[in-house]
Amino acid sequence: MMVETDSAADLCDAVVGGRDSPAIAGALRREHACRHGLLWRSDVAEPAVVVALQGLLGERCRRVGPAGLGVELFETAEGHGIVLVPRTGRLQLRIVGTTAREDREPVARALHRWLFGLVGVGVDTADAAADGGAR
Amino acid sequence: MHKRNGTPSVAYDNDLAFLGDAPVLYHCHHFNLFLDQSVDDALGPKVGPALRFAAAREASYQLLASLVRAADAVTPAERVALAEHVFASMGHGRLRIDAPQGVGKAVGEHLHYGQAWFEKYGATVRRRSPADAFAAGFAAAAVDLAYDLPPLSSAATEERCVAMRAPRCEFTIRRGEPEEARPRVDRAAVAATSADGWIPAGLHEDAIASIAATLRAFLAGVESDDSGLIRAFGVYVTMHLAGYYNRITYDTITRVQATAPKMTEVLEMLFRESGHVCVFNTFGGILMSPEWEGAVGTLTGDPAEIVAGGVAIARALGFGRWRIREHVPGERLVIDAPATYESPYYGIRHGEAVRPTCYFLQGAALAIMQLAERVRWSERPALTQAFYNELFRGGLPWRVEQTRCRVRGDDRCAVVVTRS
Repeated sequence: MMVETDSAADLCDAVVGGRDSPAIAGALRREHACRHGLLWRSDVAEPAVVVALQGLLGERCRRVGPAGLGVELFETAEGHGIVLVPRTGRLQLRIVGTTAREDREPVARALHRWLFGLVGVGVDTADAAADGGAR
Repeated sequence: MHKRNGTPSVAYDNDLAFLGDAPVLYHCHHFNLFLDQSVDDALGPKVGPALRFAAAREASYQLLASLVRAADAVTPAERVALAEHVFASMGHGRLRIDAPQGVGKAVGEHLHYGQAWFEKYGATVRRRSPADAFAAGFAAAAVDLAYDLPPLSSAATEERCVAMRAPRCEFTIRRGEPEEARPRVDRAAVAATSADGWIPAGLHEDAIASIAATLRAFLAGVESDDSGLIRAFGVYVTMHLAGYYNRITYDTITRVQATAPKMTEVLEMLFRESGHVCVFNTFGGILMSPEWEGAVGTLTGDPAEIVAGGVAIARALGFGRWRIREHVPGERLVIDAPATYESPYYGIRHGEAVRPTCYFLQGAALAIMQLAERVRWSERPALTQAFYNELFRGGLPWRVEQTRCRVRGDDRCAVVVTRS
């Protein structure tokens, strides 16, 4: 499918079928982190969604880190990190370290919903499967 | 909230890193807390923190003096502001210093040691002494410089600490007697002791150099946040002073040798274990990071991949130009380097040694072998304390021997890991 547009939002509508798309984003899982609950993972299976996310994140967030190394790093206005590996669809959310421990999961879930809301993809609301415990 | 603290520009010689004149490197809080605790365990709750304060003040003074010169910071206000900025940009948290003529206070928020200790242990352990001797030493050094006081003369005491459940860290600063200056371990002195060029390239050299350069590109873009903390590869790290690590290590060894020589071997084991802690947490965290997956590739679990990756990470973090001299999977690993971040300090401060002294290199090499052989990377294991205990505290299948050391007169530092 060829899409001719300069807008990442248009691109995303084109590739995932708009805001009512039934597509489901990867579940959000806690990754083991040096501080509990700061790293969260989601995997994006659909390459077109990855492309759309790249574009939208570039518009909505601050790009941080070097370009052209196979991984895209962004930062939200609140300081949370969003890391995307376009080749594999791996997405990592990095919650600001000063976020209260009990708030980290809700913040991660809200960020996840916001992110996939941008591309009109439904979010799997199943409970997170913890990938690692706290230390 | 956006990043606001440009990380100071770091220069590299032989993959040893320098900020201003001072040797620096990156370490995470797991290593930092473990090393501090090892020192306090060996020296006790008064002498240990006192040594850590003195080491922090000395190393910080050297760093800040060179940065003050470079920035042409003339007034006390300029110098204090520079010191506070440098502290935050190195990932140590926020420090506000108010001690005119060397008398006053400092307030710390999100301090690396105190906050990390509380996050790691606070739920299960009640700490009875402050954790931030490094911040205290840094503040004292900043005051010495700001008010042109005799170098290494100000004293600082942490009165309240977040590790002890205080809302923030508070320090009193006062005038004191200057400590006698020791030989400088600066960039020029390190270069003079770190010959290179005549050691042949190691295995996978091109790949290692390329990965190290890639990782360094990520590090160069890292900035501390509003809290003065640095997160790189998803791991909270500090840019730290090699002089601090080395002084607390070797002064502790020297004191224990003098007072309880039978304990020296135990202490050396602990310092080697600091290498395990670092490799497991920091190297492991980097290997599993999305940056690694995107820029280097998805881990296959091939031992050669982990060993080469580990050596590249060491270079990127400023540990020195580690090379793989030999690697027989499941059997043997030899890593060497023209200099480690440990050897120049020891040579300059302590002279020739009878025994090898690169404890971190020894422990790290063994840990790299363990990660290469005993971790199923493709299953994305969680790098938990329980997993650490399983890998490193249940009887290691490897032994490590340092066969060459610059401070014994050898042409390089080299460690050999074999089956135990």
